[in-house]
Amino acid sequence: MKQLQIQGAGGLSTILVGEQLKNLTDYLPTRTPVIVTDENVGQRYADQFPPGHVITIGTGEGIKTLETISRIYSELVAIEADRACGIVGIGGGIVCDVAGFVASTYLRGVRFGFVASTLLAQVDASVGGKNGVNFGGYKNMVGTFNQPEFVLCDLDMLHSLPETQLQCGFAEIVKHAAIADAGMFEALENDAGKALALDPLVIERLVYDSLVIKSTFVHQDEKETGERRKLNFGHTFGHAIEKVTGVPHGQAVSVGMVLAAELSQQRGLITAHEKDRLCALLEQLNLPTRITFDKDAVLEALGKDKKRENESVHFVLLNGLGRAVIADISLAELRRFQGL
Amino acid sequence: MDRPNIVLTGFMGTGKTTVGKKIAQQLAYDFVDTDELIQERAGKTVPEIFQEMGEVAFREMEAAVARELADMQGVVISTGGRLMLDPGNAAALSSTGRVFCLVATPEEILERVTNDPDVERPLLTVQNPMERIVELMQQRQEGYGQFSQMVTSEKTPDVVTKNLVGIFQSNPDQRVPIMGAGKRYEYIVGGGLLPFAKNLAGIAGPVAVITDTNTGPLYAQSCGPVDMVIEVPPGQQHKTLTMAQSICEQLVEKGFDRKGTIIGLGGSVISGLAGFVAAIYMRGVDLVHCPTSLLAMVDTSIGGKAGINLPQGKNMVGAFKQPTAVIADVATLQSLSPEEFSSGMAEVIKHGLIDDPELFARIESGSWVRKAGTLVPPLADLQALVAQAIQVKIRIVQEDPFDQGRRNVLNLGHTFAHAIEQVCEHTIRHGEAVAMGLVAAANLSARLGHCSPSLQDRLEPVLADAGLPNRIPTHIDLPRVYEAMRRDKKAASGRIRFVLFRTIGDVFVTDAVTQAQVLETLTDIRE
Repeated sequence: MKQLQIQGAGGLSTILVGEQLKNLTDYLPTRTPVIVTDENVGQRYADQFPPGHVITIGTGEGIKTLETISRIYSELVAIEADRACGIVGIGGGIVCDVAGFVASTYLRGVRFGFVASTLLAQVDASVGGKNGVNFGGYKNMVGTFNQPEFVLCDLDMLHSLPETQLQCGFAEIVKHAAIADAGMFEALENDAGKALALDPLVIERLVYDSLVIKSTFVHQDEKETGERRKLNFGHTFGHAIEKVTGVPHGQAVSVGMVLAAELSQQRGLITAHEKDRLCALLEQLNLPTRITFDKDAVLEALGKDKKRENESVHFVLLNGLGRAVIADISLAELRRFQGL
Repeated sequence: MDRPNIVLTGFMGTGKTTVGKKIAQQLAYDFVDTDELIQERAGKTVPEIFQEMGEVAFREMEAAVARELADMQGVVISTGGRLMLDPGNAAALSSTGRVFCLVATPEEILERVTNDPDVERPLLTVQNPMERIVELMQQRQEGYGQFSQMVTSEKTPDVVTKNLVGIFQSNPDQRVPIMGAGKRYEYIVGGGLLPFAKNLAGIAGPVAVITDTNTGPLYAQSCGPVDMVIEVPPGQQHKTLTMAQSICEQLVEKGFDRKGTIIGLGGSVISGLAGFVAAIYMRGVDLVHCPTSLLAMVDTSIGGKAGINLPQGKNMVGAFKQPTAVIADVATLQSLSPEEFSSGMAEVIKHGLIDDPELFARIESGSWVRKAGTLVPPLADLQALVAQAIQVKIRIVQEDPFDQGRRNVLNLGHTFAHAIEQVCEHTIRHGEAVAMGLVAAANLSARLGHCSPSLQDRLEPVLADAGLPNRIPTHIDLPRVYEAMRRDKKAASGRIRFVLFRTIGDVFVTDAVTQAQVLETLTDIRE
């Protein structure tokens, strides 16, 4: 097991990579927490949950709404959960987003932590203190910044994940290596097979390295104004493609990273060889590098992304493998971009 | 600016010229009457200009004069009745001056105008001038409403002058710095601040004003040009997640992004709602509170608590959201109903009881009942009262920004109040419930031997003088009140926490109270 401490605006988070769900009670602030989970995780792992009231939500991005939040508030009131209750989200990114938002707002905030059950949640969603729900067709339109007290990453839970869920996690891992760590990128190129087979040692190291990278960016910039934006590499296109085509998040981000790499190459920031290495790594991890989509619809969605400010879009480009830069690219330039 | 101009606007006959000259004399300012200046330059009377050159020409002359005067300082400017209704003129003159709108009843206006033989009033040379005055006043209501209102009814010009100079001079805006969760911001209190709100708060990007349908029509325009005004229905029953969602929807629709600032303009419901929206919209945008009720000024706008109600209880959901500034314009208190004013006084009294015996004595020796349509108490006194009351809360929240300890004392009387409000389904105002709760806290403290029974005796007349009740109405079911207290969000693991008195200005938190003792107190102070 590897342990990592992250200092956020709301306090200190302890991340435990390789710790198991059945040991959750060791980290709880209260003996009987309120558990927020989803149908799948609840069904499979309920016997390992600590004692406590369990609130189960549905699955899928569509459940991340204020209506779901409202329903959870009602359930908390019904069981008379008070400020000392303690909420644990057990599940993937959606559960963590929903549980984090509820815990940050119910009674103006109660203590909370997560057991991240998906690779994506382990490397991404549960760190950085972002939570929120979707709204009016936009992702995470309402939410807060608030650090969980602990995040437990149980690697055994990964074995029950469907392929598309793993892809999401691997896309984020590649992203972290590409924007911040050339050495990790190279190691990943060598260990891609073992990673796909969920080799515990390889996965533990990849998750840990990803967390270190993400927490470094987050730590430098708690409120997403500068450095943290680099974590959006592949996501500006990714969100738009996901929205327009409905492909799974991981695949959309994978394609988004390739497009961003092509933009980087076009600006002379990376070589064709570096771009090809990125594509090859993604392919090794069973991630797509190209899909067909309606260019105009994607551009339209880009313009309405919540990170839009005026006419240009903040883009994260690569400046060599292992380094990222932020560039403002006008919608007009994007329209001329051949990669789309 | 050392000597900001004073700009007087308002309907004819409200005394702009008379009062303006007196103010200028007192402050050693120059005096300019825009109509006179225009007449002098044109060599014609205003009616002649209208007749010979047309109204458009006259309005152009007014605009030129407005631009010119905006570049000067140390001038009292009495403006023609419609000059400040032009947004360009208003923007120019309010950029370098404090604007006051003088207000009088139609009857008084007619009387003053008829008794002033020197001046021709072409607009009123009609058969029924009274009808005409009322009609014109209605037309201009919205335009005049954007400025600080100074009621002149039943006041001599000298009294009006004294009031205005009082606001203007003896009470420069008071600024109290607040440290909240590592961020410093200022609480600025003064008379007639709203038109300067954006400047005072240092807002640069887009602005969305969130207000209610009572406050919006009165003051939204006073905040100057903003990108959007979102009005919600007034009242606690609308401080819901659904309403927060509806506001977010409107912000999304209008392309409001995270560079924007939300101004919460209104009472405590708006402070909570706008604060919550600012906390969660795009995971947080800047927030400026412009409280317009006494309750919001001395309580809800300070401390960063933002929240909404659930059907099961008040403020069950929320966040801590520190504003970038609080701009309290005490002139807005004039539009409060006497009940709303009393409601705010309950919190002012509470602040005195918690940590400022001097504030309590000040309230005790003054008169703090607002009578409809009058300026009692005077703005200058109100400003001083607000400034003193906020310091109690600021001191306490600074010690405990996240409500983990010391801040509990601010709940003095509130454990009872929230429960009473809930049981009567909010038919009792928050301030009234707080007043009952304060009496209950005094009663319970004495019952448990923590303070003298005389505290309750001293408290009750102070509440009564502020127009507040000090007994619980008979129709309220007391066991249900106790049950509601037990379910309160501040109850930790079922233990109810009470703030009790040692003496005035010295309170403490305890949960060592039995159900029987609480019920005895509730019964004791029932009507």
